[in-house]
Amino acid sequence: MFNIDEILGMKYPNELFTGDKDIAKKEHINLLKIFHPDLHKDSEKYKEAASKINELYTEAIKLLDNGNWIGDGLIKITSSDGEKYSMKYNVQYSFELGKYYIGNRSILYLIDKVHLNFVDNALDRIKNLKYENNNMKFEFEKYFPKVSRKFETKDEKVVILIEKPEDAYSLKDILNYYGNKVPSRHVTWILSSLYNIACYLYYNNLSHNGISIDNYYISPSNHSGLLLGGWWYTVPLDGKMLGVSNEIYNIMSPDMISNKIGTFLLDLESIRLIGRTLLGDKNGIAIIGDPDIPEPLIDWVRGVTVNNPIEEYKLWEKVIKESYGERKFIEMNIDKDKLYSNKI
Amino acid sequence: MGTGRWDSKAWDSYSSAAIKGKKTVDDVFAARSLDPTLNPYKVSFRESCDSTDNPNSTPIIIGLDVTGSMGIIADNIARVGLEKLATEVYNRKPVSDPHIMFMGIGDVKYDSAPLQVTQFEADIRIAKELTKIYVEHGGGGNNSESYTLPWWFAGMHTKCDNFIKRGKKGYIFTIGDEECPKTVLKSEIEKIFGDTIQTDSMTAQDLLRLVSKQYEVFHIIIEEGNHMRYQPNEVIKSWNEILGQRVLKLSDYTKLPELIVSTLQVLNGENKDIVSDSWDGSTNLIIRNAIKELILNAEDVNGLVKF
Repeated sequence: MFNIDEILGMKYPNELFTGDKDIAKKEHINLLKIFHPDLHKDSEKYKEAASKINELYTEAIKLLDNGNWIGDGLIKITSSDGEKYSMKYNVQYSFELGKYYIGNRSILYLIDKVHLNFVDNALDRIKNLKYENNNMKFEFEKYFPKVSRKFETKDEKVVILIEKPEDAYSLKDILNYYGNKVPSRHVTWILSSLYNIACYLYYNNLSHNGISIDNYYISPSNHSGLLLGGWWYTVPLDGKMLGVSNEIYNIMSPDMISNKIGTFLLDLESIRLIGRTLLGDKNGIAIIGDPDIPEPLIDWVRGVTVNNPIEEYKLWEKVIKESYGERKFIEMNIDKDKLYSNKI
Repeated sequence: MGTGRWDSKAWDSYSSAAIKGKKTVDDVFAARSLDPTLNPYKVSFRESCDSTDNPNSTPIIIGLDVTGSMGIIADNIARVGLEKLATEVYNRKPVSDPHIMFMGIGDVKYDSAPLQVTQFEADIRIAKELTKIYVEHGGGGNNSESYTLPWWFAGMHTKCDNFIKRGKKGYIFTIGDEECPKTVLKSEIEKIFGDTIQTDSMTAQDLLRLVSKQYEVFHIIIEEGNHMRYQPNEVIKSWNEILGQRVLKLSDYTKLPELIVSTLQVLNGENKDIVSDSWDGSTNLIIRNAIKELILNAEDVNGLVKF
């Protein structure tokens, strides 16, 4: 049985209820028999608890009525056509358009239907990525999303299922694993992979506008990176921007905010923000003087972008050399068991 | 830095002893060379830290053009403007617990002290810091002063609890009558700050992107300034291209405190008309005109900013 503080800290229906309507109904009644405010002197706290119990129960019944359930590492969804889908996941996150669930080989986005225009934009941009030749296609195609399913649910959500290599992990989870400070040698190859992708986006005349630790995945065995999320906001360079997450809005300069025009500079600034975040401080202040991080690398992530992605990459190569000398493969010893052992 | 609170009695006492009775700008600003404590060279950080007196500090940087005749702005701030600014910020509370830093802006091509930076202060010490500034009366014939040097310093060499602890940006105002300089050279950044950059120069846009990560940025054009009177279109165009609606044109430099306070109020959600109307007489009109193009930051909904 849960105590009152545990209940007040709950966010999801599955934390309190079983994914079956009849059982959940009994659980609801039993919980109210214990936590109803009329039964307690400290009624304010119990009022809050009863309110939380009712809120989670209502949400649980709504999910179950629509053929959906999320809990214990399993998401079950029923499409508006009645088709049932389920996926095991390692971790779930909320983001500005809804929620996403990271499984071993897939990422499932559950997006509020009011944001359908962002979804359609993402699918269109991904579908129309171009490659100079087959070599380029072979090299780059694997770094971008392959959408395996899209459908709507009864409760006005859009589901997007994206394939993911089993050994690719989100930067957000990598950062959590390392206790919010990724060793700087790893940050270096991660940033190199991001600049590689920035050059490709530049070739495609695109401003991605969603490059962040939530949307970027890395393969430690290959030292490569995959830009699997955030395509909702992608527009052509010089095209009208549609939107951005609050985090990226905060690094936009007044002229970017005023013009609202797609620019590679925002993607390049987002990469530096990722650098600062992985090194331990997204503000770039706590990392100053950190003996674990070479000074040229600190100056780089704290500094500002002044070039197009290709020129930026050339300067970045100089920074790597100044920081570490010649390139060297540093093993990142991570697997999904280490990453997700305590997640669910 | 930044302990203590503004106190009008302390101001009166300081003003009586150090300012009243002094006739000219150079009487108030007695320094005849750069005070070493204001030299930005090799400064790691100027800090704006929360304290018992100021638990939710807000950094406000005010960069004053001290070239040519623009010293009158600093003079007015020292005589009456600072008291008005501090009092109105405390009374109107557009931001919490202000920590003010002044900068003296010159011309990196010609002057011996192209940038001077005080500490962030919350009490009478800011007046003492302000009057340490060397009003060089310099500048040259290049149509611009080094208004973007403060952007580098604020972006790379300030450490503010407002940003670190609360993720909130500070405010930086530069003030003058000339055009925005197009670039700052690598050698100039090395000379003034002792910093090394990867490229040969940085544009004003580059520096703006840098400072915008931590500060809301504004430039106030003094319409009474010589350069602005003779080349207004060039001045306005050069700033509009960089800062857009964040360019504020001020027709009476003695109303600078009111404009800064009004801008803070509007940026923090107050209605422009109500803010303008809160000032009496001609100030109302001057402020109304100055802030008429100012627009607020977009609001996010659940972390999403739609354009």
